[in-house]
Amino acid sequence: MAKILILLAALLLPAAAFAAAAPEGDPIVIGGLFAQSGPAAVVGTPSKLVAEMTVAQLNATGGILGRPVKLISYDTESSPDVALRQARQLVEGDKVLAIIGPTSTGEGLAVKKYTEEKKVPAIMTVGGDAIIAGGKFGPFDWTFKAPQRTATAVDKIYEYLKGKNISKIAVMSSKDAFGQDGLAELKANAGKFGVEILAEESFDPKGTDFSAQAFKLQAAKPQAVIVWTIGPAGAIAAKNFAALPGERPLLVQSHGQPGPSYLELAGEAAGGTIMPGTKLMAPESLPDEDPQKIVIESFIKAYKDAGIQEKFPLNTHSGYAYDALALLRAGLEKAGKADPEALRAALEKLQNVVGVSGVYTTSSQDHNGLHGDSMIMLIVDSGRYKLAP
Amino acid sequence: MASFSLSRKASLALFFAAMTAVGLVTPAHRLIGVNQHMFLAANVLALNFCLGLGGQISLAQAAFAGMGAYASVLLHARFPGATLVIVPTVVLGVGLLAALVSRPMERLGEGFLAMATLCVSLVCVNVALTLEGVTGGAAGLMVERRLALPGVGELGGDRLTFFLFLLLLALGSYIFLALRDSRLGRALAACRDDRHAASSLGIDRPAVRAVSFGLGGGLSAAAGVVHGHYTGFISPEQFSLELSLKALLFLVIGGPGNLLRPILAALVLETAMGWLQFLGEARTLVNGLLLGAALLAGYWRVRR
Repeated sequence: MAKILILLAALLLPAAAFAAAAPEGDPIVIGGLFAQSGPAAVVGTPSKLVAEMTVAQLNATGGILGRPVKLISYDTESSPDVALRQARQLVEGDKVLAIIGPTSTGEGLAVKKYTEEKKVPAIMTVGGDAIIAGGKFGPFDWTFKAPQRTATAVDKIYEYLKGKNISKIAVMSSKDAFGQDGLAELKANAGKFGVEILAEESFDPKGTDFSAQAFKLQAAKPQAVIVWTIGPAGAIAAKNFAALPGERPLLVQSHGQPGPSYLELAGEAAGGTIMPGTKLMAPESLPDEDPQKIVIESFIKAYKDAGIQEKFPLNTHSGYAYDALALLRAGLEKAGKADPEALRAALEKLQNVVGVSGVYTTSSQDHNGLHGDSMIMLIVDSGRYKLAP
Repeated sequence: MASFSLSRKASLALFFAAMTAVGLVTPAHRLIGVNQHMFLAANVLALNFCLGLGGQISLAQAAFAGMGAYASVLLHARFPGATLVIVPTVVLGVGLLAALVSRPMERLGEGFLAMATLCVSLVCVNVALTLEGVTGGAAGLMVERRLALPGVGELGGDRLTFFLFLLLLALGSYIFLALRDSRLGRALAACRDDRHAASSLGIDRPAVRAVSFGLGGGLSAAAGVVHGHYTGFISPEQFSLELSLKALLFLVIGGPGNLLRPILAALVLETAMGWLQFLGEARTLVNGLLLGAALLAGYWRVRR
């Protein structure tokens, strides 16, 4: 255990680290919002455990700014209304400095409206881009996002397809915020990569069979079909496509799918499907000079040591809460004081913060800071994720 | 009879006095939870018009609330400050729509009516998802305008919203009681207890039930209007089937036809379940046990 702590200390502190003194003084209070029940709980519950694990690591290595970190987290029940209620409890009741989470995009939008008005920095772990898109979704001065943008994943897929000389595709997206977000980005960027979308279909993410949609899309004779959804629906779609007669198109899944549950649910049908994912999914494929390699390896080790792996095997979303806290820590250290406005300004000017999901470099326009190089294309080969050739 | 009506009045007065105290004492950031439960309670009362008075199981309450919220938010974006015109129009419009929808559905049998209202709910969610340009689709809609009255100013904030909901509940309760004891209420009760007997007595069943269904729809829409502007963000998932099912659950726990018990069941049980966060993973189980116990208690009370 001591070895791990030393290793983590070396990782979490900058290279020219001062000796890890025990943190002292008033704790810096951080609020956590995680969906621990409801449909988003599969992502939210492990996120909470990762956040707790990371805070423990932080405190073991000197805290932030020499002060201990205290995390107060609540369950958002996967509901925007409850998320807003808990956010208000965090800000007005518990007086937190900043918020990490929530888990689903709908929750994020409901919380964001409030945190923007209250001027509370929020580093969200939601999939959708709407929270930092501006325009009709309102300003995003105080809102940041740890996971990759949808557009980043779309670019990654199109780049890969282009390399394989695939230009005729079809799209199947779920009728929820995540699916519609993906569909919009896929359509918007198709021209840039010379890709033609021959057909599109949508489905209910809670559905149990999408054979009809799969059959219709196959009839359009695309070279590849991109399925954009999160959760079990992606595995169902993979099964439906595998059951099609005749020549089947290449199946591409979204960056929301990589994880053991997809393999489990889709079984044989998962074989040969490709998808973009975080480097967390294939750490052995990373070259030694990749700055993320050491962070990812120690994260995986800590994840296993903390016993989270047994209950929630690693998936592509596992690192988001860690990244949110890494961003928060980098921001606070850049700001030099635990002040919301200083933290916000610092979070906008981060450079090369190495996290599990990528290397973050933010700006006032880019409140995410990740690009295509933070993702890899994965292929399912004999029940495992491998780097796609 | 006199003592009964006195105790009813007393319990009503006690309920509203207690709620007023809650609204004055609770700190603002806690009040948001109470307000969310009040929104549910208003929907429970709305469903009570359909199920309690008319005997119609409706799963469309969330759809009517959603219609109210979306219509009001979209109209306010267009005509800011026209609250005085928009809110009555939306509430009356949704109520009228509910009454109109109820007439053809009434031709279906009891079980099929529940199915039809379920479809209304699903259709509404799908319409909101499909009309992306207007409703924002699955991503939802940011609410920029608050309700505002000339001379009073903006009707926002936790405490003011709480009293808006309380006013809505009081108004709904008054109409409910007045309707239940009226000639129309007796006709509704007759339809509920024996539809054939009611028809043979010359009661126009579809017409009287359309009234109760329409009132329920209007009340849900009014609750949706207040809730939508208060939350500041609306999306189809907030008005999904789950809300309708919750309203039905609490109405059944409290007993359809009772005025206060279902509302109290919604407020007390929802608050209790909100407090159970510290239980962690065991919470879902405890929530289930709590609801099961409440259902059994309701059943036992009726049996006795």
